[in-house]
Amino acid sequence: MEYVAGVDIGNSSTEVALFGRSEDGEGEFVSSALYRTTGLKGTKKNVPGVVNALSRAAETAGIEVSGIDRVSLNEAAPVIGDVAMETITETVITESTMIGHDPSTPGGVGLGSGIGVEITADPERFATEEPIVFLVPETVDFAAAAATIDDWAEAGFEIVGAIVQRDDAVLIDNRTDVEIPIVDEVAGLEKVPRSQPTAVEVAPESTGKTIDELSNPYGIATVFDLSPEETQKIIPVARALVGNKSAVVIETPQGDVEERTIPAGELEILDERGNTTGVPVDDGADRIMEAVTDSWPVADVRGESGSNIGGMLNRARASMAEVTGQAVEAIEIRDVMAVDTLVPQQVEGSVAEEHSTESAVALAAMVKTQQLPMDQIAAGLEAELDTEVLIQGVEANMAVLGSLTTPGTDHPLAILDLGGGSTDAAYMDESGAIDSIHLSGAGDMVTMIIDSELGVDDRDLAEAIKKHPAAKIEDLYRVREEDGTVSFLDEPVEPELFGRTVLLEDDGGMQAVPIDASVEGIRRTRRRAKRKVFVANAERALNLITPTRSIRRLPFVVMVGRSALDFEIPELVSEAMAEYGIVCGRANVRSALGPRNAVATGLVLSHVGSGSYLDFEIPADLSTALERTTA
Amino acid sequence: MSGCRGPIEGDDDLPRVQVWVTGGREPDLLASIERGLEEEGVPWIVREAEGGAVSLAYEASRASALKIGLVLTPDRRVVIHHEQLPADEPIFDTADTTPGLARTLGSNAARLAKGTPLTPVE
Repeated sequence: MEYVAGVDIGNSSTEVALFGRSEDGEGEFVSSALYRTTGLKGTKKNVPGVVNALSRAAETAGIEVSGIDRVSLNEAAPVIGDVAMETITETVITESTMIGHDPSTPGGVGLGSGIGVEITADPERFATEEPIVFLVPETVDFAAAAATIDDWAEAGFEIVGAIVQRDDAVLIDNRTDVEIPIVDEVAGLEKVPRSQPTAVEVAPESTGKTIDELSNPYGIATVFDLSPEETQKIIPVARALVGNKSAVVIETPQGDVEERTIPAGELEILDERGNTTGVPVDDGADRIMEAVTDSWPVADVRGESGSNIGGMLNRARASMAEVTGQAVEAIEIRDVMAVDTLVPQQVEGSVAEEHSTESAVALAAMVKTQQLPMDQIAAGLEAELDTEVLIQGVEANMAVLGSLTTPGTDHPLAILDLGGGSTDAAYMDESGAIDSIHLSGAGDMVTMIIDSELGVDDRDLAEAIKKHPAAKIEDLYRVREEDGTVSFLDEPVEPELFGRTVLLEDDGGMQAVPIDASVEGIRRTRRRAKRKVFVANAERALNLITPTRSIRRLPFVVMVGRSALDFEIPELVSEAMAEYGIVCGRANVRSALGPRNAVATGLVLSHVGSGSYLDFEIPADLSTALERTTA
Repeated sequence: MSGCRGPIEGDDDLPRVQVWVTGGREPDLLASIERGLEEEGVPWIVREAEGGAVSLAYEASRASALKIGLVLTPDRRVVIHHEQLPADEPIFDTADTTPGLARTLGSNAARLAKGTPLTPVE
């Protein structure tokens, strides 16, 4: 028996397909294996990971690693991707003017506006004509506060609202005869200006309604009698309060809320004809993508130094230079993908940690070089295993061969390799010739967008949110999934998980999401991020790869790669492609492996021939090993 | 006020958290627990009882239409139980409870009834 192994070294995992062939030339795949890639893809450090993956495959097949007669490596695409985010607007409050926070249990109901007065103040010093909003510091007990409100009311004052430092709003409301809106849990109460016009609003309970006056710019204008110019300035305040159950807005004489555009620098896109197009990043994603399309094929992209995006482009260049041992100047950025996103950011000068939603641009870049030093890996493997090692074929070509083992496919066909760092596509025409393309923007970009849009600020958690469906723990034993399905648990949940939004992990475990986001909010953000990156890139890639530059002519599109294993990315892409009337689905390599192992399988087929796995003869240029044998 | 003190008049079917105190006199912590429940807007009822704290809390949870029972002992032990839990595994069981913690526990008992996230207790 002769054993041939195909080895695909990817960014995150190394995959093996092991093929056994008897004397008479007949053979079949005997096992597959997967191990995490050691070191950066395309470097000598990959060797231990490859050896490990081969050992696993050999073990499953019941042979020794030394029994493998030949190892076929792919020539990995010499591309790496990187991502960065640039915020392009910011809201600055020069003096506190709003408290947009949303305590879980405010008290009372309605809208009240008057002058802010410390609850311990002496009533003698105030006139009864002016309506009053009380400020209740934590040193004042709820019973005393309620009594003071009643005393002042009896003395003829009009009390219209209260702002409370502790979580006491309901307690005060229950003990006073005056029906007023009360906002509590205002931690920075000492920062709230006194003797200023102050408005407090609490939405009615059990109606499902949110506040409707202070979240409306004209509502604020009505309360404070603002001029048209002043009304324009409070738009960020109103916007930050939308959806709240309660809010406070204070008018300060010198106070100012300003929404600024931060200069985010310019991207310079060079095309292969030598033209340069400059796009200011703060013009947004649409303008950037338009410029990329106009400049296609892109020769290089430069970012302004000092900006996040400029820094990211330089970082990507530097790591590629390190892998290949080439000069940084020789590394080119061949594609960028931009996506507009919204980022919650804490407002400068806020009182109760208010957030406002700022615009940002997420950018992914794809760096390309001539060729990775695969011969070094091959030499390292040969020394380690004492087996013949061949660089059998180019990654994209091998992926096409492997994908064609999916039942129901035929060429011409296009594959979409949905990865972590890049989205790749390849197209095989009627004659069997293959063309391929690498685009920036893939799984890592989705993670970054989820991270910033949900304000997670933790890449691992954002990755988990991307990969797992969310659910709500409704009860000690009851979980409501995203689609409304309810399931019951055998064991009660831990108190920390009770009432919370969780992620349903593959092994049945649950991970709490420590952010203030509903299941619906998480699902919406997650799916939108996936659509913005993968659906947009699938359309871009397929349009560029088809000879007619039109997706509609493609009969078959097969999805492979790490992100094709995602629980919803393939369906989101398929759904979008259905509009073009093409068959687009997730690969099922060798009728059994799903979107895994396509390249490794292709490498073996390229070496041993199509056998029973493909119903056509593999063209000569795909079945001969590359001329980069180990020296 | 949402609370109801005094003798029970056979209306236990009303959705309320059952707060049972042992030792024959009103412990100082009761007010703190009641404030926690009140701020969350969940009704409760207080009565006197005798027995082991955990088993009593379980019994209280079974008597509550909200399925939540709370027991407070004279030595400042607070036990919160839910009817669906195993009888000997309460959700919270704290000794030497401070007034601040007692209010948090009262609020957690209410949140259990509302299905909203609990405040961590340590």
